[in-house]
Amino acid sequence: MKSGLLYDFWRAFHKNRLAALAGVILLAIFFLAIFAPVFATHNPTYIRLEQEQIKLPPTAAHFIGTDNLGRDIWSRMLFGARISLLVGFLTMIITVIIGVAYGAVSGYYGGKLDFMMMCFVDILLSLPTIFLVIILAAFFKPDFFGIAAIIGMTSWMRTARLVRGQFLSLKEEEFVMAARALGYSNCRIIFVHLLPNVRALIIINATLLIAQAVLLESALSFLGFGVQPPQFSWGSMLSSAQYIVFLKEAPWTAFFPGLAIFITVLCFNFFGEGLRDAWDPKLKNY
Amino acid sequence: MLAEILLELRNLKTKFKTYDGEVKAADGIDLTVHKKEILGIVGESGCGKSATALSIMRLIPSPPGEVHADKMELNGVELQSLTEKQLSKVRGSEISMIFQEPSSALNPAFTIGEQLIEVLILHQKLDRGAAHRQAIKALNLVQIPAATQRLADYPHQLSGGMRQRVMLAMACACMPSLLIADEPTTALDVTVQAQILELLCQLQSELNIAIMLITHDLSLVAEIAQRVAVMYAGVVVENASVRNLFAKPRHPYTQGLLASLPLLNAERERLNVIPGGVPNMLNLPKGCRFHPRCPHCWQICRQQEPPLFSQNGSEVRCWLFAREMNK
Amino acid sequence: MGNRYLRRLATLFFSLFVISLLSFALIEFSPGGAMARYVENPNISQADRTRMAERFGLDRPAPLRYFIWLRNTVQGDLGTSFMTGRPVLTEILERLPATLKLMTFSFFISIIVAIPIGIYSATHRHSLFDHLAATGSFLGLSLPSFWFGLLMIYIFAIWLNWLPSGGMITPWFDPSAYPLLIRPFVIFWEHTRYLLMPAIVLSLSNIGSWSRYMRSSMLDVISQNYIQTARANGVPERKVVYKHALRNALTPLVTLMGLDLPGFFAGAVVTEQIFAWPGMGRLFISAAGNRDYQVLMGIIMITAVLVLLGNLLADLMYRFLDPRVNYEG
Repeated sequence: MKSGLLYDFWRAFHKNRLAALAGVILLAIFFLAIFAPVFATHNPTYIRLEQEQIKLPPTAAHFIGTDNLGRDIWSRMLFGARISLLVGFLTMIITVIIGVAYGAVSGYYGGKLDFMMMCFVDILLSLPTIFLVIILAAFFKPDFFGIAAIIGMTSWMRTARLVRGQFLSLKEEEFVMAARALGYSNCRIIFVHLLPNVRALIIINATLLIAQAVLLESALSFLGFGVQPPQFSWGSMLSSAQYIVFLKEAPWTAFFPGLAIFITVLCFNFFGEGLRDAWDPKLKNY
Repeated sequence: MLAEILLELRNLKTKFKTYDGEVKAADGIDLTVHKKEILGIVGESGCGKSATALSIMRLIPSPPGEVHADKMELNGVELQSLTEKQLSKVRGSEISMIFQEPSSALNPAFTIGEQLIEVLILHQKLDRGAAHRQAIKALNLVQIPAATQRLADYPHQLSGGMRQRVMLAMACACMPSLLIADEPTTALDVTVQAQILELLCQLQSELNIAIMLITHDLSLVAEIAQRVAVMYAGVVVENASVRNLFAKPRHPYTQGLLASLPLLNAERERLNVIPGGVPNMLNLPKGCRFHPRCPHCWQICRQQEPPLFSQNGSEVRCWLFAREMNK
Repeated sequence: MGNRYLRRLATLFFSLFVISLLSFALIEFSPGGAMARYVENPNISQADRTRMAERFGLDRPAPLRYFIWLRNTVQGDLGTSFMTGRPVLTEILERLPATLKLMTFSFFISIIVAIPIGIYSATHRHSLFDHLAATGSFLGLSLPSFWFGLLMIYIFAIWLNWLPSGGMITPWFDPSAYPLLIRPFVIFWEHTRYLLMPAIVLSLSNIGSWSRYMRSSMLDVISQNYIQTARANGVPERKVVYKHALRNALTPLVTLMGLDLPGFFAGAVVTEQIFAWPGMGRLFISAAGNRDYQVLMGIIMITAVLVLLGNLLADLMYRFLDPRVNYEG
């Protein structure tokens, strides 16, 4: 099976150039983030308040200029990528764990339990996620791990729905009956027999979840509720550009980190869509 | 019986381009429909019956479909030369069509009345009031009780048989000269089937409509049709009057079909079946399309496709008859 | 059918109850609780804090306070803001119209752009336009709205100086300074020029997802038998698409719009912040920063009510568009 998935992946991405390109760009971004100290030209947190050092436009010494505290934006973007991506991945892992477990239990047991669990999901879904995220972030003042936990805990509902739907139909299959007849525990059936069947779906969903998490984290940091100084992410780099004066004087400080977020999210989305084409042609929009 | 020719179809080719290759759903079909007659078109599913019907309606989507015929004339008008606008005028008023699934063939978002009246206004340029009266007449024609009330119903409020009657009412509301009925009774209960068939006969005689009845069921054809065209894998293999066909089926495929009909006074214990299955349309056998399943297959059948041979008013696409003629 | 709506209404109130319980617990169990913002203030002594807590009723046990809050809320009293000392309901109702104005405008932009794109993509599948629309919707879904907003401000407000960078209306705007004949247009433009950028930013992701959804829904419907019937009856293609297909294709979209409503409110928070739009979202952000928990609770509850009502409305629309639902229920 594994080789099957990999084979389909390879075949589809060979054809789908856009998704393949997205994958390559993502690898490049990971590479830059991991080896940030190598590629950074300056200390990203080194503040220089001399007049001739702040809000510098792109120059030879500073590729894409400096910000309002005289820090090199290129170097900050490299280190900021670490937090942005880390939060993205951590959030995805937390979301997938909660969402899959919740959805699996709900779908597998069905009946009244399923009804109540899905009722709860519906209620949560009728609240704007960002409200809860902002409250939690404002009250707990978390570090990046905490932010991942907060976003993860408030955005697992759609994943749960998805997995639940799959489980509802899967549990009617004969191999589940067979497993039950053999006396396997429910827990074993869920995780050993059923879960591998939704593997592709979960991976596709996870890729799209990273994209959403990166977006949400950057919005949160932009609003000032995300990672707090001295830590910084792409989103918080844009934060100061909320002030019109600042945007006017040094647009590059807002432009490049935002572009990085945009490209990263776009690549995750394209990559996820490529995976969907490869593994689940049914889900395609024709 | 030398009735006037209504529809003449010569060498119709309908192709679909798929990822796996080109499918020739119709591969050189010749058909003639005379005025006021019921022509049965019989064949297994996938033999190109529906594709032929849709080609005549010019409803094959392109791409992936592609339709070409040497001649496709209705009342002497070449259908292939019509613009989309002219076609709209022909469809529903000159030729109309009803489909297999009455449950999904009516738009669920509009009432029966809205759908009927739309067609009437479209083709007969009636005002709303006149169209409304005409719609009630049309429903009466197909024997729907309480027609006035039914107009306000949505399709899902009617039974399958009723929906098929509504479909018929819509199709016949503008007095077409040709009605194509594509498996009109397949999805219905047996008792309802009989009613719909009866209704078809009645419409044909009352409104002088010619009907092209497409079905996989030879017994239906035996009941109401005057002539039959048997199709196999995209070609017409036999073309005969109903009486001739049932009395003396010529093509081995037709013989097989007849032999597989269940008989009421069953002398046979088991139903006969034609061995093998419908050929893969992407990869048709060389020579006669039927030869892998044919009990009388000989040398030439494997090499060359037979033309249509005429014999006593019947037409057969089989080399056996070439031999007979040569004798 | 009356029964059905009673049940819907019961579900609605139950949902509100769960949401209130949840958000109350959330605020209650966060570190420091409601008084945390005074802890770091050296001018407020421990005794002061105790006294304040008493005055706000914070010394009572949490379940009792929730009960009191619930009782007051049912009576239309959402409490008092810590920041301003004014009733929360007044604060919110002052801000709500601005948010609704922005959302309504953005909603119409989304519909006007997304639906035609979806229809055209579906009827011209695999055309250049279809591919461009597909790519465009991906771009729209991936754009960080705050960044896009800043870009727009930079281009249209700072660089070209066509539109104001923020706010809702010019404070000294006086329509009576214009001749009566053109006054309506002046007023319209005055409102529109402030609305335009925030509404577009807020519409972006909706346009992306709705146009895709419209396309697939339309493709779904076009392959249905009744479309074939309409064509076979000689209904012109334009009418087939815009009457027979569209009506049926819109139904799932209406449901999606209802489901997207919370996302709309979330988007409004960010958009209002960028464009200094004096709506509920900005109030929420400043309340979150100040731990003004009564206001936070109030906004969450009002939003929940609006979202649930919106869903109810979507449900009614659905019934109107698809008569089958009524029948089966």
